[in-house]
Order: sequence, then structure tokens, then C-alpha cells
Amino acid sequence: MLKRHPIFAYYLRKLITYVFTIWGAFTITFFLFRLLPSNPVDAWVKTLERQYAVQQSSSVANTAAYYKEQFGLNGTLGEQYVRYMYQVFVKGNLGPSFVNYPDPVQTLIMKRLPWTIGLLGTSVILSWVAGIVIGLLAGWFRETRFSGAITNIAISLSQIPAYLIALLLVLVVGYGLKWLPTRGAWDAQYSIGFTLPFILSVLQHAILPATAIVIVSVAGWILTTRSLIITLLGEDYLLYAEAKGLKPWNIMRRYALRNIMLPQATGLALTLGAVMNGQLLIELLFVYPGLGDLLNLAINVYDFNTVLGVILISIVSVMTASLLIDLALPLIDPRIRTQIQST
Amino acid sequence: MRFLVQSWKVSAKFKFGVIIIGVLVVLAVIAPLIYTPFTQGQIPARPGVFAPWIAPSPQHPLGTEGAGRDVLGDFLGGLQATLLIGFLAGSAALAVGVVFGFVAGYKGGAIDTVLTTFTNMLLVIPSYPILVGLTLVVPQKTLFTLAFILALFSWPFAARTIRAQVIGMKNQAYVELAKVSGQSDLKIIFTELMPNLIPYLLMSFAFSTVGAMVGEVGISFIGLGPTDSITLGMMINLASGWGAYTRGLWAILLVPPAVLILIFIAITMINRGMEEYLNPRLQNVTGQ
Repeated sequence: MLKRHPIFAYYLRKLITYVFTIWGAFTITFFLFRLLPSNPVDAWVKTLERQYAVQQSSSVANTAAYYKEQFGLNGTLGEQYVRYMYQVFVKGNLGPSFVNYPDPVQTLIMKRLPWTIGLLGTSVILSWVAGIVIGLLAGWFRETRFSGAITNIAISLSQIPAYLIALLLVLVVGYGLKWLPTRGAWDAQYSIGFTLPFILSVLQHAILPATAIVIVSVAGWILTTRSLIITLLGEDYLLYAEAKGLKPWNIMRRYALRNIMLPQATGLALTLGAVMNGQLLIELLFVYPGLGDLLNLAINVYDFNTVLGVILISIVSVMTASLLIDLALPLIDPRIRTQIQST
Repeated sequence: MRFLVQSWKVSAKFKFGVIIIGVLVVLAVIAPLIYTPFTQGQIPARPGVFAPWIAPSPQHPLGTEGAGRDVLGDFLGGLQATLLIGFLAGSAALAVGVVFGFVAGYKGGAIDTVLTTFTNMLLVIPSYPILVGLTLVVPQKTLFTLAFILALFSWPFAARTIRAQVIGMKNQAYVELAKVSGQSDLKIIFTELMPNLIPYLLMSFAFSTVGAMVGEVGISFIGLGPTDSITLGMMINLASGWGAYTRGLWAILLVPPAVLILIFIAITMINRGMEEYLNPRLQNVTGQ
């Protein structure tokens, strides 16, 4: 069956890799955090002991035992692991959080996810569009000074972490010129809701963090688009289109741009999947109420459930984006289909 | 070696990057000579040696900062520590990446599948929270332990790059010939494959170094840097703690991020320059 349907075998292999990688990455993370010689309950019980000068060790032990059970920290490491995996993947429950006990972790994540997706998703899409347009022009007019300058600037910016750019923006635009707010996601005088002042305030607060992310990621898209275009330029069908007398503008749009859309759309999907990984510090710097901020709160008090929950979201979104690409590519691109069938 | 000379000749970017990094490295190496007179023999990272906020004077050309350290000592000591962390972590990551990449790429089959799957698992874990978790509990957080922790998360990229190159190379005729003539795997790896891979090893090293330094800045940025040295990332964190924004201490605020950005640009240029030499098609398209 698998031998006779290579496409089916390909899909099956991708699905198995998907499940297996998520499981492996999450398991590594789980044990890394459990091996840390500290946990929230111990620290908290110690504080209690200090604060109330508790003498009866039996009641302290009872309290500790109760909370250990609540957080799944009782029993051997193996038992904790099996219980946690069952709870997360079978029951879909990430457990109670410690930073906001007894709210379950999924509630906290859901509250913050829109901010992260809103800020980071918008920035990524904006930079993708801008990067493709600039990269297309820079590749098409590759012998001009404009192209050379753009390329050099893009190379310089491409490897700088966005939070350093953000820091300079905060210093110069926020503190120096006092043009834009540098803290939070909206002005505290407005209440959350679909009102115009609130929305304007949110947009105003998003300008600096979004600019920092866009500056760095647009550079990457410019470079990839430009080199894709340049490899296309020697192709026969472009020469033929020119010989046919098509206008250069139409050749660029219909022949060049369309041919680079596949790799660039793939890149966009992968970047959107990995969107949270690199930008956690941006949220920290701007005190932006997203997942990065939550992660920082949680990690400082060893709130394992919350930290693992956020990491799980990140792992799953990276892997899902890449799975969707793997599954969609053979449907879209006949060349890949043939390649799979021939192996 | 010849490869580096050729890259220097071919690429202006490579030249630019090498000169910048060269100047910074020299500055970092001779740093103790420059700051010792002003820090009076104290290591720059030690707080409370002088009174805080002394204005610039012949004793302290740039003054002292909020923790009573010489600002010049901070800058130079920070540059030294940051470059050293990058170098140590980059080397460690390269070493692990070479072993993983060569074994997986050269052996192939089941070993390759296992190693590659493991590498891919590490690559999808967001490294920043784990780095923070580890640095929170590490008992002796010296510059060396921090570099080691950072290397844990920068080797998978190196491993993946090297593996891809090894796979592309091992089916070449000269490797087949060496195999047929009965050379051992290790000998083939060191005499046939390694010399051809040096450019890629250098590039992986540069990438791992950048990765580790970005990680270090991230860690130090939130106040979890090494306890025995001062780094450029830590200076950023300290500056905001002293209310340097409101005090208008622009030098303390701007110099560390600016130097870091310069380091990242220079390393990227070096990498790009090497790529241009290896892939001549890039050369005539870079519009120089």
C-alpha cells in the first residue's frame, strides 16, 4: 500500500515526524525544568514559615503536600511526567498556574495571546509585504546604486536582535524626543473595549515595538526576495516574454513575482509559526501584556505549569506551520509531487 | 588560510567586517592596560570601589557609575567579557556541531535519523525561557558557565549546516576513491572532508558566536548575567536600573547597544563575504 502510493507514504511520514518531534521537544523541556533544584511550592512554603513563624511542622507539611498535589509535583519524576502528559494531551488541561493561582494556565495564555498575535503577527506580515516589494525592485534593478545600497543596509540589519533596535528606539524616540509611549499596550485612562480612543491608544503604543521588529525582519525578506529574483533573471521564459514584447512592468509582476511567491509564502508561514521565539524580550522591554511578559513573570517564581504551557504553544505553532507547508506543497507544486513519486 | 586571503581580496564586506572585529578584539585584549590606571588595579566588575557618580576627571576620564565603578573600565571590561563569551560559546557549539554533523552526515542511515531528529527537537524549543531557567539556578554563574549554557542552544544550527555539507561531499569521487583504497573513516574525515569544509566550519562558528552573544545580551538584559564580570548586555540592564533615562546619561545608555550592533554587523559582513567568495554568483549580483 505504502509502496504503491508514495504520496500517501510522504504524508504519513510527515505526520509521524510532527507528532514525534512535538513529543520529544516537549519531553526535553519538561525534564529540563523538573531537574532545576527549585520549585514554586517549596519556595512559597518557606516564605509562609518565615512570615508566620510557623512552629507546627505537621501543618506546614500538610499545606506543602496539598499544593504539591495541586501542581503535580508529588511522586517520582516518572509519575509526574506520565500524569502531566496525560493531563495535557488527553484532557487538554495545562494545570493551575502559580502566578495567578488557581486560574488554569490556558486561561492566562488565552488572555495574553491576542496581544502577542496582534503585535507580532501584524509586524511579520507588514515586513513580509514591504520586504518583497523592496526586494523585487532591488533584484530587478540589480545594477543600480539603489540596489547596492539597499542590499548593504539589509545585510547589516538582518542579524541584529530586534530588542537592541527597540532599545535604541525607546531611548531616542521615547525618552529623548518624547514622541511615543514606551510602556504597556494602551493608556490606562481608557477601558478595554471597541471604542475609538482605546483603539487609537493601542495603535499608538504598538508603533515602537512593531517598528523595531519590522526594521529587522524586513531586511531578511529583502535579501531572500532579491536573491530569488536574481536567480530567475537568467531564465528562458523571461527572455521569451521580453521578445514577445510584454511591458517590463508586466514581466516583473506576472512572471518574476509569481515565481517567487511559493518560497516566500512558505517562509512567511514558517516565520508566523516561530513568531514568538525571538521576540519575547521586545514584550519585556515595552511591558507589553503578551506571552513574553507572562513567561517572564512565571519563570521568576518557577511556575513550571505556565512556563511549560507557553513553551508548548510555541513548539506546536512552529511544528504546525511546517507541517501545513509540507502537506500543502505537493498539492500546489507539481514539481514536488513528481519528486516524491520518483523516490 | 588561502580561503581567508581570497575572501579578503574578493569581498569589501569581508574586509570591513574583519577590520571592525580586529580593532575590537585588539581593544579587548589590551583593555586591562588601558583601564588599570583608572580602576587602580580592581577588576572592572567589582562594585563599590569608588564613590558613585563622580564626574569625569583625570582619575576617571568618563566618571564613575551608580555602583561606584569606573565607566571606562565598564566599557572595556564589558567589551572583553562579551567577546570572550561569544568566542567560548561559539567554539564549544562548533565542536559539538562538528561531531554531530560529521557523524550524522558521514554515517547516514539509522544514526543519522536519530541524531537529526534529536537536533530538530532542540531547534523547535524556544531557547530563551530555558536559558533564563538555567541561569536562575546555576550555582556559580561565571563567564565560563554562562558561555557553556549558551553553547547548549547554539550548536544545533552548526550541526545542521555541517551535516548538509558532509552529505553533499561524501559521494564525491575523491571520497569514494579514499574509501575503496581502504582508508579508515576517521582518516577520510580529517584528510579528505575537513579541509574542504573549513569555510563552512568558519561560517558555522560565526553564526554560533552571534547566536551566543545575542543570547547573552538577552540574559544580561534582564539582570541574569555572569556575577564575576561585567558585560555590555549587563550595562544596558544596570543603566535602566539607575534611572539613566531621566538622568540623561546618554553615553552609558547608548554606547553598549551601539557597540553590540557594530559587532553583529561586522560578523554578518564577514559571513556574507565568505559566502560571496564561495558562491561567485553572489559576487556580481551584490551591486558593488
